[in-house]
Amino acid sequence: MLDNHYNVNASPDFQTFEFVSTGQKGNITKVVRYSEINVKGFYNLGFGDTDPITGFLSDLTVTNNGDSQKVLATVAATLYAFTNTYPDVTVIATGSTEARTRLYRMGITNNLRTIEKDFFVFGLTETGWEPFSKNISYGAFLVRRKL
Amino acid sequence: MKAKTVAGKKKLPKSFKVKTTLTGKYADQPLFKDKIERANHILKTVGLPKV
Repeated sequence: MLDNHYNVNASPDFQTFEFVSTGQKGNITKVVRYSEINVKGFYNLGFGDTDPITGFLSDLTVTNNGDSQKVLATVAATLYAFTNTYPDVTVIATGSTEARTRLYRMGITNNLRTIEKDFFVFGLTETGWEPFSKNISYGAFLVRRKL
Repeated sequence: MKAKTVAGKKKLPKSFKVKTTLTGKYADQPLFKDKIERANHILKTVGLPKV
């Protein structure tokens, strides 16, 4: 399923990615951005829509374009491209809302067998990080490429 | 951070194109600032997983 993703434009440093979601609400440009945080080698996965009028990005927009699986697969594809370039990094992802965090969890769950071939995957519980398991609610996710 | 490509995985998928126009395109926007702050907070308070 991860193969069914949108065409992606990448910045030369492979830290910013753009693609166009096409669905019931029309064409919506989405951006994925990997930003290094305070811990060296750790990057935040930021993901949001561009406002067609202002051009500004928001990670709170609910698109409902009917293509969430394809969008998640595209985000996953950017993760592969990013970690192909920076294999030693660790990427942390948190949803901007509980609904979006659940969506991330579903996306990982549905593709866990494929993802675990290439990545260590962790989920954050109230007691700390643990290897990702299906059917557990996590507050954040962390992935690192298997080398 | 210096780019270091995974061995044997250098080829970019056909569905990806490098666009120099993306460099700095969103430089004037505080991209996903809340998420970055949350990620920093999590790693500061919870720590790192054992990989």
